[in-house]
Amino acid sequence: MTLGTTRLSIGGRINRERALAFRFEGRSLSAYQGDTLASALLANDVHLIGRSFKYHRPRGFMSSGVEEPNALLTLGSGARRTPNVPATTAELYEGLICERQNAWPSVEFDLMSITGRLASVFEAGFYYKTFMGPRRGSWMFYERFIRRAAGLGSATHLADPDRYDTRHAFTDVLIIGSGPAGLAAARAAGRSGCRVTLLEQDFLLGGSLLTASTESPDEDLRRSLEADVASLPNVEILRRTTAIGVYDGLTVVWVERRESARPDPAKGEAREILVTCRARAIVHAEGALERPLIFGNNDLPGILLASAVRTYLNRYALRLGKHILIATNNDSAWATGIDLAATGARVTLADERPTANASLLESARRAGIEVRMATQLGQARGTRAVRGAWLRTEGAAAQWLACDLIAMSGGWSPTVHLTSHTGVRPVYDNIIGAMVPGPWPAGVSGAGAVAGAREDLLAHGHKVGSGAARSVGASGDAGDPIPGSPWTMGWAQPVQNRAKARSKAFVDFQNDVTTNDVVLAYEEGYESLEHLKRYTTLGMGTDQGKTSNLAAAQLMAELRGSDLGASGATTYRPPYTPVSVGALAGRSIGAHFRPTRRTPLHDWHVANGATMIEAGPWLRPWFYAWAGGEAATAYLAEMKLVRGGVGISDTSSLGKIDVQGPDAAEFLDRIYVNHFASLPVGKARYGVMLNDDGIVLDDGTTSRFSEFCYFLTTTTAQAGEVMSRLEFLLQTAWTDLRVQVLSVTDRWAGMSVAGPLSRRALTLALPGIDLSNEALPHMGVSEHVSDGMPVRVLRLSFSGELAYEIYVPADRGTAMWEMILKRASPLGIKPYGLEALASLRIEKGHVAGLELDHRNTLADLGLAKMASQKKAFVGRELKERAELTAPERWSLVGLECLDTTARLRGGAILFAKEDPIRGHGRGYITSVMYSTVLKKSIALALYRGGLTHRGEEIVCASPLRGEQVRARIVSPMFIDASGERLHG
Amino acid sequence: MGESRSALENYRTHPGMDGADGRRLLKIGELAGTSLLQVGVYTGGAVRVAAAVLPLLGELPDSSVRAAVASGRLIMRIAADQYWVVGGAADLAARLREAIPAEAGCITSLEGARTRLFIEGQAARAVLNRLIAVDLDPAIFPVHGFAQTGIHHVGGLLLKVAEDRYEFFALRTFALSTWEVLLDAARPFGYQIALPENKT
Repeated sequence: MTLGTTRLSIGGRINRERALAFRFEGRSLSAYQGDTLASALLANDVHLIGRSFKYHRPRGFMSSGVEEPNALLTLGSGARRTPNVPATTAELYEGLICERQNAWPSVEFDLMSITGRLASVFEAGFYYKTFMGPRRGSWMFYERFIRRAAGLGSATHLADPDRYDTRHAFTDVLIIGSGPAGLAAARAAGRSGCRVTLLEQDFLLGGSLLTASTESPDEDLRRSLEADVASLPNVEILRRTTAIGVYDGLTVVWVERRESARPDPAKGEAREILVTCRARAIVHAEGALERPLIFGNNDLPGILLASAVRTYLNRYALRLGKHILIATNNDSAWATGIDLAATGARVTLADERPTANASLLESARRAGIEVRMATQLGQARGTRAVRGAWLRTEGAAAQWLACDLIAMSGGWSPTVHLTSHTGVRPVYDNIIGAMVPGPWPAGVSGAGAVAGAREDLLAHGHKVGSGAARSVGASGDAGDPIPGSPWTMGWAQPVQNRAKARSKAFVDFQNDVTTNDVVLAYEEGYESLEHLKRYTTLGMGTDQGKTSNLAAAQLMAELRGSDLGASGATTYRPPYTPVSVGALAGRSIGAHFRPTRRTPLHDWHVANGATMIEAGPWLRPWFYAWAGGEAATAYLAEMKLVRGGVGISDTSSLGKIDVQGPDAAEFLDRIYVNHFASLPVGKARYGVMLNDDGIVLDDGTTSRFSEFCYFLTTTTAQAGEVMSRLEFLLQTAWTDLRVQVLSVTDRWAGMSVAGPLSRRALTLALPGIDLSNEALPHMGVSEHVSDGMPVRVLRLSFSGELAYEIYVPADRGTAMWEMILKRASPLGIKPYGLEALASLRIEKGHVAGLELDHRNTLADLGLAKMASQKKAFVGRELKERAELTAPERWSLVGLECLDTTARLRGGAILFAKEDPIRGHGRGYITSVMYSTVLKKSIALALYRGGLTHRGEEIVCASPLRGEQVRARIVSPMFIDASGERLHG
Repeated sequence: MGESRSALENYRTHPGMDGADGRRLLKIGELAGTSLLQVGVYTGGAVRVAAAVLPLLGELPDSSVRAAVASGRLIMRIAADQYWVVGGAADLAARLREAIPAEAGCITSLEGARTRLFIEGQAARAVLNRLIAVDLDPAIFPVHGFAQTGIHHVGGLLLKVAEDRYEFFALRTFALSTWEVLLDAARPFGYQIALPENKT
């Protein structure tokens, strides 16, 4: 007997006027608008849809929705190839391309099905046992073969050409699911007057109402509800939209899918949009999922959930099979049988229960259905399709029934995935035989089947929807519940085959977990559901156990002799259904991956030959074309310029903070280790601040421009952290201090004019400003207006040369920069970049970010004498801890390379001359450069014992390069120890 | 006087882009020449500062979500003890500095420190909600409502100046990055770039 599909000439919710062509493994097929890929394939008599995960058993469709474990296809081609898409959720569109996966050489003839005959090798937890020997590490050898044999489809390595978007949404009442309860809830909440958002993962509204015939009163009800809801202007309806996660604060994340509309990325149209919604109330209306029955060979193609068979019939006008067995333990599957019988199919209905209610029996009789009560499906038979089943009727011998389709129903499980995401564990409801959501958190409620409602789902939805609206303050009239026939769930106590089966009886179809696997896990001590999950992989995969979790829990409970309520449920985590990486990334790709920070002089640098380099979020000029084409040589030319003439560099990225107030001096005294209250107006001072734990946080200079006004600079890297720290201290620890701090990093463009000719250069550029030693000595600061611009001049030196920092408002930065370059051009002034800037300071022995790495103390950096003994400051006490004052700590030293043909390297590990070259050594190089003054490679380093080893020869090892270079420990101040240059 | 240059200097001649339906539903641009001052109030100085600025600014607003608008100036309370004054005469900073007792509060100019972007059109709200987690429903975020928020991980201040028109005060050093992200989000709707407007 062969399973065949008949597309009925009438009925269904497909548009027969609009045929859609699609390609399936190279074959051109056709179906209708309104079809899913699953119904389209079934309409073309494609029933063998893939091979199973582990045993490569032939599989067909099991469901018609998101719970589908088997029918995973790869959609698209080339760069748009998407694997593992359930055909049951893919809306058909013109030109869709798809193929089956996980088989070799083909799904029809899969050599890998040999694994099914080696089932004893691949039992639960096999990878923990079978493939562990003969040697340690053997698993690493086997793993690649096992992974290749098992698994799902493969993704493309090509860049995704589509556009993905993200957005934020806000609503008063968010309703997840548009089944009868969800629609009723949306209608009631919408009528109450609040903002309502209704999500539906399908492209049609209606949920379980869509399983009913288009000729039935249920269709009138669905249309009426949809029209009611759509007419409300305050209700937003989102189809093709799946809520994938629920988070604290009534936050729900959903994905809107636009693929069926063929979005054009060139026009900015997104394929998917990830939405983060903050709601004031959430109504869960996700409904329930039908459970499969567990019996031998229950995974054969042609065995589907009863509700799916009814959906294919009434929604897609597809009658699957002619000789049909309905196997059930509840009322709901009877409707499937009755609808199928009405199309002329021969239907046998086996119900495990001893009896059914009279009206059902009468309906079945009128439909011509053969009903067998107290009858259980023992085992199905077939190879690539079901051809019959053995039925066991109580008190009778097993009977063979030939059939080409089995529609099974093991009852219903409320869809408790999303309801559980915030940690609300589901609880067992023994009246309906299912897990239902745990206690609803504030602002959250459930409507209809998801809540385990026994009553009419429409009335329940109405009640919950109006309640949610009231909870957010909506006072409009929700109206009356929808009149009409009650729509109730066919709840049932789960009754399952609990014995070890001779043929495979699958609990988890996607992960190939059988009843025997669950028994084995129990026998090996994996009794907890969480252990069972990890040992057998049950509940993992793309379907996340939507059809398997309860059956597994029940089976384990029976093995343990406990009731299902005590065994609990596994932890449900987002996402509810798989999400593409593209949707998660959204627009944050390429140039928009992260924000970029540019100095006010950025455009000038780019236009004038600078090679830019990323420094944290900043783009900074690395070196300029005038000095050479390579950083390694250009920075030397730029350094020579500064050491011998005058250069100008962009220092705008330095953190800049205004500190103002009557208590500003006291505040600075507390945050810096050295004194600032004594700093005269018109002077600057170098300062160091510590963390609470006594470790150096940052350094910089602070200038005093008036009694209450200070201008503090930080390193580029620590600007944000220092600003946050200052605000934190003022807002929590020292609320009594009359101080305001304000980041002015973006307010001021900064530039350093450095070199022995810098004073002359600035005198040319700023003729109205007296820059003499008398007017502006070293560490002197002044404010002016020059060429209409406010200008701050700070005589500070990072390079060790006579130098000035010039600050002007950011929007005037380029004007000032160009003016200095132009007016000082007779002196040969040129710009120098970050590489030279950072190297100049190494020669001078100034520490910077590479040394201020949040691990070093003042003493480690040679700054211990800066700390005041007379005042309190942050970190003062804890910096005295024994660990932080140990003499053998790594501390700052200078290194001179002793091999003239070699160079020192950043990160090199340092060893004493006699040490074996292994391990972490005695320290490492933090900063390295070639000194144009000393004509050799020099470095700053942290070395155990620091300068107590001055003069010693050490070895600098770079293991990755296989390189060892000799160096001598020297003072970190390589040039001008007396400071003559900067005082010039 | 040195020329003032925008962080978006190179976008002045951007031709704009059509949206997915061929239309341009948005106007996006920069307001140049914005005067922006921050008034800081020291602990215990609120009454004295309020009294000092009253003749120049009027009453300082209590609200931290609605801007006070008077005489062409916007005043926004951006923190319990901090206010932004947007717009005003060129000498306003000096006059405020003179008026506010040095023991009670301070004035800092942020002119040039922020790039004042605007987005206008029927899709403005949709674009902003692609970037900003603020409920822009008119009932919740009315005209002159403001929020300190962020675009693409960078802090900024959003101000609604009219129905379907918003301004975003971006950090100048991130302005180009923010601008590019804004244009990218606006891509499906189509936009035209507005030439810089002077704003007092």
